[in-house]
Amino acid sequence: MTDIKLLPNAQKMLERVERIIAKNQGGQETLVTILHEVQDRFGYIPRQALDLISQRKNLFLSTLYRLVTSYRAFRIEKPEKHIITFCNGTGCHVNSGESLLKESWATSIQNSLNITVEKVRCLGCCNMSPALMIDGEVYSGQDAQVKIAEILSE
Amino acid sequence: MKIKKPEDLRKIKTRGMILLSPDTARITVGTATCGNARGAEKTVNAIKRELKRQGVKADVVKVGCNGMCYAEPIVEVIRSGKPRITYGYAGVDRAADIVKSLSTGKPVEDIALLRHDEHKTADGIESVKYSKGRPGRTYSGIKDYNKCDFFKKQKKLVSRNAGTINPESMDEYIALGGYSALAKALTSMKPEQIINEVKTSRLRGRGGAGFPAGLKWEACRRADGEKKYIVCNGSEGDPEIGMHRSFLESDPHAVIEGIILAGYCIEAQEGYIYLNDRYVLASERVKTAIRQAEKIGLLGKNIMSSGFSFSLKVKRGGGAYVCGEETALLNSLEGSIGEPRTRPPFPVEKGLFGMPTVVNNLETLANIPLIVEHGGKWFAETGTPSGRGTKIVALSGNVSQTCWVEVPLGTKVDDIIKTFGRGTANGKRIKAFQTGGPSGGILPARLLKTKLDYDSLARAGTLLGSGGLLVMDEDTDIICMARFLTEFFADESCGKCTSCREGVKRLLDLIDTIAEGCGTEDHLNIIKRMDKAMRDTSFCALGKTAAAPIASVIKHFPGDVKKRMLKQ
Ligand SMILES: Cc1cc2nc3c(=O)[nH]c(=O)nc-3n(C[C@H](O)[C@H](O)[C@H](O)COP(=O)(O)O)c2cc1C
Repeated sequence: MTDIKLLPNAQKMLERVERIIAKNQGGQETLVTILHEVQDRFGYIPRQALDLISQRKNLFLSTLYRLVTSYRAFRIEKPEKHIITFCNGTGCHVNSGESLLKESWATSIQNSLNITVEKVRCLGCCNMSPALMIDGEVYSGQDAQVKIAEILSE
Repeated sequence: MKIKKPEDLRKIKTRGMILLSPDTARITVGTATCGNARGAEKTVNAIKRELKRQGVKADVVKVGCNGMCYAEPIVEVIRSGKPRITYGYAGVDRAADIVKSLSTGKPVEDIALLRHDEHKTADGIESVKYSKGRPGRTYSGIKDYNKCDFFKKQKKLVSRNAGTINPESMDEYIALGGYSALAKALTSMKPEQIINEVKTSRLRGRGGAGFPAGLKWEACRRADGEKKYIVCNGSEGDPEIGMHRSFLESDPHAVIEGIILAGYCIEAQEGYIYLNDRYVLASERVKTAIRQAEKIGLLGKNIMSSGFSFSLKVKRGGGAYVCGEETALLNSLEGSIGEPRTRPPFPVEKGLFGMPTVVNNLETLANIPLIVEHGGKWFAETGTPSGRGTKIVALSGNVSQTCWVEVPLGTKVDDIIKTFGRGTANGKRIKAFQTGGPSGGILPARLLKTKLDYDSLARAGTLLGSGGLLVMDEDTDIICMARFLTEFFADESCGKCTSCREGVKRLLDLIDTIAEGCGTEDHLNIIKRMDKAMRDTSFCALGKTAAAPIASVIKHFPGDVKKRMLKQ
């Protein structure tokens, strides 16, 4: 798993998580907030962080794992360098959002080890439809092509 | 300073008014999600740079969205004594022209959309005057706001401030009448009295089920519990609408004022705003607004010496559609998996942490200050018997203008698409439309004359839902559309009850068979039976309505279905 890469920093990461837990005192109702804060910090929720949260909040790891995987917002695998998020909302679908996935570059980004490809239900910018998000910025049409070509040539 | 009496708001009001129409100049840029996606932040920076370069003074202010998402980035210029000018498509390259217009006095004609001599709220109470005297020839080429169909045909009650005020400035919200309803309620109205007004207004929930808000509050007020909660549903999980997000990003105080009023009526001490996990900007603006309200004592202990104490927290959801369902939402707030609960007991009896809880959509709550201010009777004058007041509607899909608007309930779907969406993108015929998100049926063009209200839409076989309106043109493959929506339910089913968990998978198999051209009459019959079975036996409305898209396509588009059937 990707965690191995993280080992030298694991101690630091765990201290961070410990602080996040300390900030959110209380029972189970604090979990979703804690998980969000961990993910905001590291881009995903590392296995060691889950271990620590389950110990501190006195929960079975399996219970916590079920919670984390039941929500779409959480990643339990480290994302690659770039994240490309396709909008899979109804509005973009009607405007041929799926045809974006059939473009010539679509297979290249699916296969690239540099890129994590995700789909979400609505990016909230139907004015750009069909839209996609690259590393937090919304693109569509020609701009999307240019940006993707740039990432692929890295 | 803490606000103690309604008069205390006056000083803040004066301060806000100066911000809204300053002696120098004010340049606003629409920076809601739709604007930012089109590079509004870059426009802000470019304008600031140009101001410095050209040596011109003006306040640069980030506002929300006025609904014209199609024309983003939107920039407005307000100069003392001159009409307020709205510019559309104002990318970085137009910043220099816009700034130059401040010194030359000549508007940038080719991107000027509107001229606004006076801003009046739709309830007619508050106004900001911009022009002194007649605007003159310089502005004659620019359309008057009051004559522009896009705004004239709307009734902006709830969204009156969106795009005009700075969402991070409480002073500007107060300047346009904000928090006066709260001050009035806390100093001169009893909770029962307000609940009565809300009942008179016949305000129904804007989140989906359309339950009368007044009755829900009354039930919660009567329920026993050592604590009570008010929860604002900002989950907005429908995959095509962003108007509530945009609204929160434009005017967070309006929702907060509604929540405090609701809390006062049911005697809650605590409130939660549950937000969709992707609404990061909305969440920041709401948090800022909460801090501002706390600072002047409109949230916290003993608000305006009324003895009522109330605190408000924002919680980010986990990103599951079913978490919009009120009991699943409560589970999610408690840190459990977002699965619906058995009802009864209803949340008004046993909700958050087992205590009586009101869950209301954020738009429902944003209507409350208006009802308190003007009375339930005034409110009920707008709309139709089955739905009083207005509804915010987001228009998307194959329309030439993607936008969100606020119209009186009872406006014809057709009119909304024509007036605000300017029809389909390339003049094609409309084939179908859908309201109410994925759970709404897909309806054919011949039903376009349907009125947008609870009962009319229900009769047509769909629902108002939370206000999405999706348009599909003649090129749309309607079977593919039904498949897409079914896949959505298959993705989002939480798996708690068997009929939904297994049903959605079977539905997806069936529609795949039809889409591939192998369907027979038997397949259609099974779908119809499954629709009924799932309606009868599913735990929550997600499963109950999962077959609605396919069933409505079979009902309304027999030709399309027949063409796909197996040739025997
Ligand atoms: C699957 C499902 C999703 C829902 N999503 C939302 C939502 O995103 N926002 C919302 O306000 N209500 C949603 N609802 C409706 C809520 O259960 C509830 O009726 C509503 O929040 C009550 O508020 P109101 O009376 O003000 O409309 C959803 C219901 C179901 C069954």
